[in-house]
Amino acid sequence: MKEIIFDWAFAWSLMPELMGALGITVIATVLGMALAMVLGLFWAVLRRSKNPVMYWFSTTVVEFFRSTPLLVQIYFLFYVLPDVGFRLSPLQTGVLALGIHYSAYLAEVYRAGIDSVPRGQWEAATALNLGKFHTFRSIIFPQALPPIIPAMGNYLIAMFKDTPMLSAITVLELLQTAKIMGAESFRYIEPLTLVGMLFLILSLISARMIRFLEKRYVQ
Amino acid sequence: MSNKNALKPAIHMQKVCKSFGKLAVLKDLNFEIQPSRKVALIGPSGSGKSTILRILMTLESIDSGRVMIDEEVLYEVKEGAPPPHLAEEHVSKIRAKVGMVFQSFNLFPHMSVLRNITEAPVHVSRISKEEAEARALEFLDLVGLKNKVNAYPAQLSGGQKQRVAIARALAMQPRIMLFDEITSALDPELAAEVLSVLRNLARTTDMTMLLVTHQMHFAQEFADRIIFMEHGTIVEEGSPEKIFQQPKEERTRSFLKTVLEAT
Repeated sequence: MKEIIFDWAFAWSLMPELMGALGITVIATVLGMALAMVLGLFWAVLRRSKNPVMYWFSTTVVEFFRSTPLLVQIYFLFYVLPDVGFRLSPLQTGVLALGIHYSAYLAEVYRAGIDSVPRGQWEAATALNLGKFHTFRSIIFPQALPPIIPAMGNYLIAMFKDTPMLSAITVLELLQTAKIMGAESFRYIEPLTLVGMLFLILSLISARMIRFLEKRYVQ
Repeated sequence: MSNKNALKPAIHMQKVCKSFGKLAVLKDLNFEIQPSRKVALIGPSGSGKSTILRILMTLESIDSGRVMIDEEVLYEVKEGAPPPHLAEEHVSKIRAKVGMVFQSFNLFPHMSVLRNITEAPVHVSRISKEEAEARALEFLDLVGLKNKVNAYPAQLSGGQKQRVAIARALAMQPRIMLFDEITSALDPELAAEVLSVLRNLARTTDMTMLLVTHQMHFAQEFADRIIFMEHGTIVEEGSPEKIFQQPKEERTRSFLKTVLEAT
């Protein structure tokens, strides 16, 4: 009985389609992270509010999204949003779910960064009569950002590795594409191995880039 | 009635009380400071000196009493009543008359010396960037640091940082300057360069200056009036000669004896 364990020629033939799927995965990660960074900052700022309604609203939202599974959130958005009149493509829904889910984690990261800025910086800004918004944007935020680059990077990679969950809502990202390839050819080892390798390579490259940023901006 | 200045104190605190939790820091404090005066607040740690400066700079609120700057009410709180909500514009208008220099410098580490000084004039006073930079250079010259205009705070010594902080506060052209133990974090020789800047400033401007310090010799030569505080109240005040040569109160005497022996 002669069986090829790993068919290199077959694996090679899958590459073009897998690279296309990798593009979708990267797009979902980049857009999801961008959304998470904006939303996360929004929650973090709201949580600093003296207004109790804003404080409780943001705290509840953050706790809710951190304490429920991403997959449930993905399904929820996919099946419920159309019912309430929002028609989004599966990819758009996936980006939205990733962005919202990770914004809850990033809110905590931002909070740690903002808290790490010494109180004297706020006081000096007050003494110079700088407004609250200007103080946050030009004095506090630029100092809060460098220390949180490593944590941000970890969440970026974590999100990247969570993108296969979007296969649950038919997004043609890496895993979904590999599964289809497997089903068509009855060979799973090549597509799944390639998916694992692609994730590994991209994660390692991202980690290196984050280390570079860290060295450059974290003193 | 002939002396108008005597009727218009630059700083006026009436029956001011302030506590942090159960600790009463200021107890029914009353004092006024006439415009252009140079006043030194002295006293043991925890006597409430810095709290006075922080209240005047709107970094702390008060529990009760009244605080006026240039005859305008900054805070007025009736005893037992909730603190009234102050309109930000009102506070900001009064705050513009006051500048402060901190013990820990509090320069903005991610901005150059020039940007540290021009940030507020450009964004608060809304003067042009060119004018703000020209003015910043004048103030840097005044504190002897014109050559550091493009440096970052991390590249400066403690004494240089504090001189930049002084220039930064001056750039907002306040009527009142508050100095909160500005040499406490510095080695003696670095403190000396900061004090010499301060001495010049006291001689050449008509700003009202209020200084909290532990350096009695400097207080003596800098100030035209000394206020000695202990446990949140003013024990004694008067000219430097009076306080340092013939203090009336026993507590003033024993405090001065301790600190002058220590130095």
